[in-house]
Amino acid sequence: MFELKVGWRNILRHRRRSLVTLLAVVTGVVSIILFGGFVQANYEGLRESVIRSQYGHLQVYQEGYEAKHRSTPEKVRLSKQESEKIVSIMERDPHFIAASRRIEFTGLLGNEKQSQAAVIRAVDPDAESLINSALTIIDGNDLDSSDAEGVLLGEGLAQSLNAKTGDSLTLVSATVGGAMNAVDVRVQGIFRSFAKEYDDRAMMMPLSQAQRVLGTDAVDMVVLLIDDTSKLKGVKAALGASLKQAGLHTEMQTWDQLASFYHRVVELYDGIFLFVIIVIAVVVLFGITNTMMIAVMERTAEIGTLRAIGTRQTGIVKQFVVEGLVLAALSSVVGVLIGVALSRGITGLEVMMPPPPGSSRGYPLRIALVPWVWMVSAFGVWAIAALATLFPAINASRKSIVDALRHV
Amino acid sequence: MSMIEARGVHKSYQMGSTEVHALRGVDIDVAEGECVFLGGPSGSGKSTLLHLVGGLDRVSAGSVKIRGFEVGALHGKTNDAELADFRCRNIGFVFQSFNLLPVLTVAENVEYPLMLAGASDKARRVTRMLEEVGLAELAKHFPNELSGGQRQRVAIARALVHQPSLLIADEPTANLDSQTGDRVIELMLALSRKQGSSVVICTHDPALLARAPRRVLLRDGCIESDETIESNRTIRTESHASAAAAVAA
Repeated sequence: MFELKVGWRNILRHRRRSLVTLLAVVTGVVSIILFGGFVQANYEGLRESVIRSQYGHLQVYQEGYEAKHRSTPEKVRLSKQESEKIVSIMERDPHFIAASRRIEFTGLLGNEKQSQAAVIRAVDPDAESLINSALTIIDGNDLDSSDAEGVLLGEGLAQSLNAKTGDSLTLVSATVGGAMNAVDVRVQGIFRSFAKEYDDRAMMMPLSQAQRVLGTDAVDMVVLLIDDTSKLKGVKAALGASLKQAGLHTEMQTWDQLASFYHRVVELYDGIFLFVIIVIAVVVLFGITNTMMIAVMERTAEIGTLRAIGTRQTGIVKQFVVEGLVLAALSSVVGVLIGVALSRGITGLEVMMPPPPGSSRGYPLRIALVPWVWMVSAFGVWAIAALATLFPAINASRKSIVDALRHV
Repeated sequence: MSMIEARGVHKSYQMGSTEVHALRGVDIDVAEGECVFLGGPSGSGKSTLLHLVGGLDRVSAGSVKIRGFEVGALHGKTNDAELADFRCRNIGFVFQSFNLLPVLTVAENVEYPLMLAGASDKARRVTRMLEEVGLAELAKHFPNELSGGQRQRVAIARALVHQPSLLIADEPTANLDSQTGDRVIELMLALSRKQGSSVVICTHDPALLARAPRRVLLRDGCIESDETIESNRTIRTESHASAAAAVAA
């Protein structure tokens, strides 16, 4: 208590110097909160984009799909009855939003002038409009279950085919029996997802038309969308149990098992975040060390007096460390308050950011409110302050009493 | 047993490439309750002797004991924490520049040694001590709000509040005018006598030395003279009441 009182009064006694140190530490805390919040918001935004434009939350396949679908996809598809049963089981989950059956295959898409290989995703149009809510239709309209010929082209694919909304194209693909089949399709719309690479190759079409092309009523997977990503683990466990109970031999993959792009972005940002934290930690470390070294120098005679009166060396160390910690605690609290206020303010401005690497569209600048980042920055600064104060404090305690008393 | 027993005390410092011999074999004894004034020109070694006697520095050779406890031993013989605890319990210090802690109030400055010693009844003892030095009404003031004389009285209160057996004063009047200095010395001696503390005062002031009951003069690191002046013993017998009255005036 005594050390706290003395520490606080010494902070007030040297107001200007304390203020400069406080500002340095506050800047550090605010920087960590803003950057951490920005990174977290990006993770969340990217995660939801990945879920709502490609993978859904969870995909259910025939058992053995992952191992065999590249070589013999027709052997690891879910039959019509199986897929419908899976959808009906999914619909019972309280977090259920939508389920879409999909087939993914490749084909040759072309007109009279040119052709392009396309990655085709055939879907239930009505359910998919919910699952693909992060997909932007930049021209034309979304898929329509009543219009089997209407397809969506990725922006890049449409450009390479020089195709516009309303144009007719021919899709050529192999049936499950190995024969070649061709159907005419009409460009219903052009879409843009978060991934440019995907848009350069992708086409989406109604499932019924794709099944006619492939000559099957089976599907590759059933994709599930739920209302809250954080509930996925529980939903997956419950669904797995229900499917097993229903006698279905299936396997499942969640969005994060599929989204390698997401994980690459997370790794990149985590690396940058760590680097920023280290730089800020070093700045704070040197800032507080410098302040405390000046404090020790200025208070040399005081240290001599305290030692002469009978304060132990550990008592001197304690006084300076407590002072550093009080200053750091104050700075942390102020830093967190300013950081949270700025996070809200910046998010409220709705500034648009340029597209991130590998993405095709910008996104609104958002700073997430992440309590663990606040805690890490506040307690991190606190720990750094303790470290930064320790060296000058030990130095102070080891001064010769006689020399310290003579110090002017 | 003597209060202070110093034997063959040598102290040398390294100043650049030169070794300075501040004390060259000093022997001195101070009895319980005795008051000794140390004098001598600058560089004579009086401050060095005072620091050694106060347990603030270590001897280069010889021994300094306070009530049998070795305070001046070479590093390692007495550990720093032990020595700090010894000073805290047994020695009071008054410095030339008062050396009050600027962030503590008058009362808090006086309370500090009691807090270090883990004493009980601190508030009552602080109040009584401040009354003794005539500063009770300034208890909540900070040192920068006081005059030089008042600050030195606070320093005296701080030095004596824990009733040390030895009071060490290093040029206590050097930053005061002669009248205030006289009053401060009278107060310090009166209070220490009341408590039965031995006193060692280091001073340049010839007027003060002339009134010393025992005067030890040093020159070139050796004791040049050590005399007890019976006629000056009245300086120790002046009543505390008159000293306090003098201070209050």
